[in-house]
Amino acid sequence: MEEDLLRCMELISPLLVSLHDEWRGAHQLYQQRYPADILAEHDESTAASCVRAHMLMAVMRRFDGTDGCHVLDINGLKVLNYRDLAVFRFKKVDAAGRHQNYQTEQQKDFDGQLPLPNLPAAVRLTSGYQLDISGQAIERIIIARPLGTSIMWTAQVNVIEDQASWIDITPRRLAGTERFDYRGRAGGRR
Amino acid sequence: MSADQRFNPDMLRLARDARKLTQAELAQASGVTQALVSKLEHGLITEPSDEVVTALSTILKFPPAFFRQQDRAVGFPHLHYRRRAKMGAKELARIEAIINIRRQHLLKLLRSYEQPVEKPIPQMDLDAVGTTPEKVAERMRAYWLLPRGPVDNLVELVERAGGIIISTNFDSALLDGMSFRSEGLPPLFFMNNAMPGDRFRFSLAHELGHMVLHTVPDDDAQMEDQAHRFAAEFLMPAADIRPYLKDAKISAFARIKKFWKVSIKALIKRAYDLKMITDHQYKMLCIQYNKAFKAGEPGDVPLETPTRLKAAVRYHLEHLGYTISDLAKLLCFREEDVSRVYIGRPLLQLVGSS
Repeated sequence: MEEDLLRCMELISPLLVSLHDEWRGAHQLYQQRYPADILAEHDESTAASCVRAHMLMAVMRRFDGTDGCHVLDINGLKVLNYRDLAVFRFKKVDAAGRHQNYQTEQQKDFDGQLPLPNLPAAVRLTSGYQLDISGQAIERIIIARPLGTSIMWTAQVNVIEDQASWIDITPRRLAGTERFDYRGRAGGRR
Repeated sequence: MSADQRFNPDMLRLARDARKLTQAELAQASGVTQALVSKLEHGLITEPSDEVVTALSTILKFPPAFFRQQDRAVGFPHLHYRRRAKMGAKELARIEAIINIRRQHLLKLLRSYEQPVEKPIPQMDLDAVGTTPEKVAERMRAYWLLPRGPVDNLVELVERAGGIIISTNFDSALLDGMSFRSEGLPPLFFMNNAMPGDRFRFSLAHELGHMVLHTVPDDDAQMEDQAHRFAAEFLMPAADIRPYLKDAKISAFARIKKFWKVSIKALIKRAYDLKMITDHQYKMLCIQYNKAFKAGEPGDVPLETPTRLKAAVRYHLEHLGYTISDLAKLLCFREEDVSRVYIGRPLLQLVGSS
C-alpha cells in the first residue's frame, strides 16, 4: 500500500497545488457569493453538489486540454484524466477520504479500479475536501485511492507558499480487524 | 449658594462607582480624607470648598459642574439585566453608574430633539391577557407588520418604535444588555457592543421582551424564561423556522445562521424547544458545540448600529448651533468624553512644539 501511495502521489505531484487551490476557491465561491437565503435552503448534499460543480468548472478552465489534462464526461461521470496515468473524481469526503453518495454501477466500477469504456486504464483517484464540523471551512484537501466501497490509502495535501506536500492519513487498522474497516463491505458488489 | 447649585451626593457616588474606586482609594488619590468623602456622599456636608471639588473632579474625570447637577440616581431592578451570574457587585455598580450618567445625558439631549413614533413599544401583562410570551411575540410581529422569516434589522425596528439603543462597550463581557423605562424618556436599551452581532440581536430581542412583558417585578427566573421565549419566537417564529431545523447537525445550523442572523447555539436551543430534536440529540449537539467553538462561532453576523442617539447629537451640532464645548457644558461631561462617546472620534488636540 505504501509503495502504491508513494508512486501515485509522485505521479500526480504537478497537479497538487492546483487541485488544492481550486477546491478552496470553489468552496469560497459557494460560501461568499451565494445569498444567505439560498444557502439556508440547501442541505449538505446540495451544498456539496454546488461546490463540486464550481470545482469542475475551475478544473476545466485551468486544465482542460493543457499539459496532458482532459476533463472527460463518460455518461455523466465527469473525471479529470492526467496523461492516461491517473483519473480523478471530485467529491466531498470524510476524514478517511470516503464519499457518501449513492453510486451508480459506473461509479462503483470507477471506485473498484475496474475497466470502463472510453476511460484509460489509469489509477482511479478521488480528489476531495473534508469540511470542519461547522461545514463553513475546509479542514483538509485529500487525495484518496478508492477500492470498491473502501479506501486503499488517503493522503492530505498541504500547500505552503505555492509548494505542495502531502502526508499519509490512511486510517490505521488494528491487527485482525481489517475486514471490519471498510464501510458497506458486506452489502457491496465485491 | 442657591439650591440648584448645591453639591449633590448622588453625583459623587455615581462618579466614584463609574471609576470603580472605593471611598478610601478616592480619598487617597485626591488628597482629601475618607471621612470627608463619606460625609459628602451621605449629605452630611453639603457645601465643600472649591478646592475639594476640584480635587475630586480631577481624579474622577468629571467637570466640577457634574457634582452640582440636581438629578437623582435611579436604581435598576435586576429584572432588566441580561448578565452572567459571575458579575461582581462592584462591577455592576460601575455599569449602573455609567448607565445613570448616560440616562441624564439623554434627558437633556432629548429635550430639544423629537422624532415621531408611529407604533410605540406596547406593554402587555401576560396574566391579564391570559396568553404566552410566544403569542405576544407573534402579535408584536403582526403589529409592526413584519414579513415572514428573519427580522432584517432589529435595531432599526426598535428605534422606529421609539426605543433608544445605546450601543456601548461596558468593558465587561459579563453584561449583555439592560433596559428600562424612565420618566420623561422613551424605553432605553443599553447594549454591550463587545459581542458578536448574532448575540447582540438576541440580547436586544430579550430586552424588548422585558419591555413588553414586564412592567412590575415578578419571579426572576420566570421573567428571564419569558423574555427568552419572547426573543426566540420574535427572531425565529416557529411556523417559519421549522423547515430550516430539520437537519439536526451543527453544519446545518451553521449554514442557516447567516440567514436567520442568530447564533448556532440559539438555533440548537430553538430546535430543542420546538421538539425537533430529542434530549439525547440536544445533549450531543451541545457537547459538539462546546468542543468545536471554544474560540467563537464561525460565520459573523454584522453588528447592527443604532442611529437615533447619534441623530440627536448631530441635531444639536448642526441645527441648534451647539459646539462640542456647549455640549460638554450641557451634559456636564468633559469635552474629550463628549467627542469620544457621542461623536465617535477623539478630540483633536493641538500639540505645541518647543
